[in-house]
Amino acid sequence: MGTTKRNWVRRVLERSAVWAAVLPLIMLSSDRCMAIAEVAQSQRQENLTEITHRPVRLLDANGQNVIASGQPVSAERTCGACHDAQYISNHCYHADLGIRRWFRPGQSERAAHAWDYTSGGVGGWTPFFYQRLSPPGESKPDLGLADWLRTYGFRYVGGRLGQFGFGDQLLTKRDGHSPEQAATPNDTPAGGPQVEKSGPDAMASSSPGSQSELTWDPDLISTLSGNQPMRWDWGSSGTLEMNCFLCHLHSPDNASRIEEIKAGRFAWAVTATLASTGAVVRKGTQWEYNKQAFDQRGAVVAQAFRIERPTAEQCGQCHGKVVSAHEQLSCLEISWSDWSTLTKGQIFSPQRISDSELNIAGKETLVRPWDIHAASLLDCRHCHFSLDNPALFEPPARGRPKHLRFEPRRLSFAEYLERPSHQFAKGDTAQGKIAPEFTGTMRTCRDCHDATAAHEWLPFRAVHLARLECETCHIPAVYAPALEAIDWSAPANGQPFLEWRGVTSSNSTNVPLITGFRPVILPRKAVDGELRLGPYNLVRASYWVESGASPRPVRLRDLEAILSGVSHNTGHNRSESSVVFSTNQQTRSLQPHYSTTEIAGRLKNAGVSSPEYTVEIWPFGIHHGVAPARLAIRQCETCHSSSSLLGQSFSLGKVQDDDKSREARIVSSSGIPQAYSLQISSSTQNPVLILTPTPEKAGFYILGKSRHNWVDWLGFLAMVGIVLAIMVHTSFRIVPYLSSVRSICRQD
Amino acid sequence: MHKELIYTLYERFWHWFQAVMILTLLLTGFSVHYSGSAGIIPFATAVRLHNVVGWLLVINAFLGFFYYLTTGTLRQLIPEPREWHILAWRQLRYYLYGMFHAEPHPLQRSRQRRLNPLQQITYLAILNILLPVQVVTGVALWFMQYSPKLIHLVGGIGNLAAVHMLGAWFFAAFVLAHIYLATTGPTPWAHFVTMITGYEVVEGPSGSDPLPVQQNETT
Repeated sequence: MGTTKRNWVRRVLERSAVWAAVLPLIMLSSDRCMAIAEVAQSQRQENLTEITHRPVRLLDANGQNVIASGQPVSAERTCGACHDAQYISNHCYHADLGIRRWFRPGQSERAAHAWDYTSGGVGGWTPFFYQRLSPPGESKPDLGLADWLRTYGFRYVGGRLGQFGFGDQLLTKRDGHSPEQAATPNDTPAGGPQVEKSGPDAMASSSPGSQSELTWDPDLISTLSGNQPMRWDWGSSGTLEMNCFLCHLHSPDNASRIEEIKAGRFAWAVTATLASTGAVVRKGTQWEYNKQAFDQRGAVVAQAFRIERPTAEQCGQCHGKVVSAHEQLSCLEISWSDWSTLTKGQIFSPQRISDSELNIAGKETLVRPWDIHAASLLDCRHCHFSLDNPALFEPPARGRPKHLRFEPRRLSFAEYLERPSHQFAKGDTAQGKIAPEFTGTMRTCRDCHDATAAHEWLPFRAVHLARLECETCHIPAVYAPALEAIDWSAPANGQPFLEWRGVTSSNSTNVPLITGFRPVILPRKAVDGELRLGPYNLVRASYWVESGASPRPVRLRDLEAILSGVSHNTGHNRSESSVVFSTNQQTRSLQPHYSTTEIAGRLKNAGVSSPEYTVEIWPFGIHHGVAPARLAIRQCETCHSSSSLLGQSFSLGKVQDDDKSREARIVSSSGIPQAYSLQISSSTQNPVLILTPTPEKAGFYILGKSRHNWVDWLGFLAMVGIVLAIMVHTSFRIVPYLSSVRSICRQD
Repeated sequence: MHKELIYTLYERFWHWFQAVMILTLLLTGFSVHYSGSAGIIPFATAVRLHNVVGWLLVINAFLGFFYYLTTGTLRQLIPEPREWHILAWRQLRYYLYGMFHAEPHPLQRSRQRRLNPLQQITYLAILNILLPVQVVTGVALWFMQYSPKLIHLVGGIGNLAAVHMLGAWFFAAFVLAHIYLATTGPTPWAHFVTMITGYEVVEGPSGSDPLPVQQNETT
């Protein structure tokens, strides 16, 4: 008993001492927390890239060290020395862009358009990448593979499509050339590889209205290299193999890579990516290896040559603006490669919005990071992980036995490092349908956050969590410009007319004021089949379709041919670069000034059969730019009121053709039901298309917002009837009373 | 002429408690429905209050039912099967004609017979149709917070809300008519005073039977 008591006393004393030591630390820590977080953030890059990669010997396509051969670096051979590059290229939807399972246009019900030939990727047409890689056998083809790579390869990492095209044979083999004959820096002309006239098997003509005489082979023929379709010399250009360095090099030189691709020097794209490391130096249009950057064994020793796990910065090269903690956001330039910024106003950055130098309305109050997950040291790969990464792999719920809580059958790290699948976990976006077999594999909000525990304050929690996407409340606003409309009906200088939301042009200064925007809330069928309300940006797209048996968008070159006399409203032309928006200058594209009837007439005269002006709406689900929880929507009236956010109108830009605009629909493959109405607002100088969500049409009933008008009218009429009856009845009661009073007065 | 106890203390309490709750439910319900436009109570407060008061009303309704059942007062709600149509017509005639010509009320109220035939049929409809409909739809709407999917079994929240809202309108109409008809006593305030004090001035000696049918109304 005595011992027990002594032990107890000793424990109390020990704990008191511990608390006495810890309490001051706790008090101090509140101040230190922010500082520690900032330090951690600043050291983020260093910490994450401390993993050292063994020295790399750069090999060419023949497996020779490039120092000796002077040939372009082959990522496949270089990285393939240790990793199964073939396996990686074959298991990567970024590399094949859906081409392995292409189908004849019009043969898939899931396709958004009749001219689509893959479920997403290269054959899933979008107005943002207007020109099509025409599939084999198509009459009046648009782009061949080489053309497509040169036009849109800036957002393509290379690989299956860039090496094999639509077929199964290496393009250089199909062309009669072997990889050994790939172009070298010395023999590649400045204007791109030599193109040969394709001879008798070439397309007869690509002028408007002409039909091909022979079967179109997009892998071999180029339509952009001259006035006539020509055979593309893959032997000279090389193929565009998967560029491992674009994502795994600490500072890839993407600009140089794009330059090589645009010039058609595909084989040199990988080499150009290394320009920032100092291992290779540009000499005119050619590349030379810097021998000082290599050791005696031919391995790169340059300090800047750091191989690492892909970070958000690498993903951002093709997917949108990523601004690291160290980078000062002084100017926002959006180009076609900034996909998520362009379409959703997304900026993935740990920085506080108020710290940027951008001209943002109310910036001083926006003391919050651009994205809370970026500020929490998360990268893209944490949610969009490799599907066989043993550290992050989770078997999907679909088809998984309910009793299975852990899946032990996973790769060892050694196996994974040798053959890492590059099929990345993906969500279920409204705008992209590539690799549908991996839809819903990514880590979602609810996989990391226990929404039930975090929302104890929320009334009717189960209903809210079942019917709302997390982003609906946690991304209340977007603080960067995003596209509002893209109009290809009368392109100027090969570019569409663009309208932006979330930004106003200032007359006093030349600097646009970023106002940001509130996303529109629309219902959409999620992977689990449930309809949920989520935030979207909508972009109205206008373009011409050559309708008929094989409908397709009218080719850009056909449009340009007939638009020579069409005037455009005055405005600054876009710059020569691919930048379509800049906060440093007014970048307005040329507004078309024409009648659709006039253009249709011209197209008909030029041989385009039944040109049809088409307007459609592209939805872009907003999943990034998450605000801290304290800034999430909490006020019930935000949704539950007559001015509900869920019924908030959304502008879709100036319209050219009222009737067609009213008939516009959100693209069918997005999974968004037609729970909205469209009106043309003529309150401004130019009529504007307005979309108003009506979630009630999709089965939602939002208290305070939704109405059954017949109920309200019936109830109102019942009340009016009762009131009228009372008034009439009262008057009949009062009249005899007044008469009696009057008679009494008379008697008096 | 004498004063007779028409309503016991519990009956008066029950009535006024129910009245306050119905008015509160109407006020909060319309504040929810017309949130942001005509709603005068903030949405969150209105929803919470509506739920709490709704449950209180249900409890009070069951207590009342138990009381009226065990005291036999429930019988007063049941119309006379034989002469109900005659009595109802006389009551209607009184409301539409007799009271404008200073005719006496066709029914002299007493503790044993407090409701005229039109009241009987109205309260029967309210207690057997309107109140159950409101309670069932209200509880279903409340219950959806625990199982959102079950709501689909009863046609979705939209259908439930429509029925509940229609019931609310009818309740509001009833309350308006009820208050007005309460002014049709010997004086405009007589019935209100009775519902507060419990007593009403009744003609005839104390303990006499009510006069269900007036002599001059037989023709």
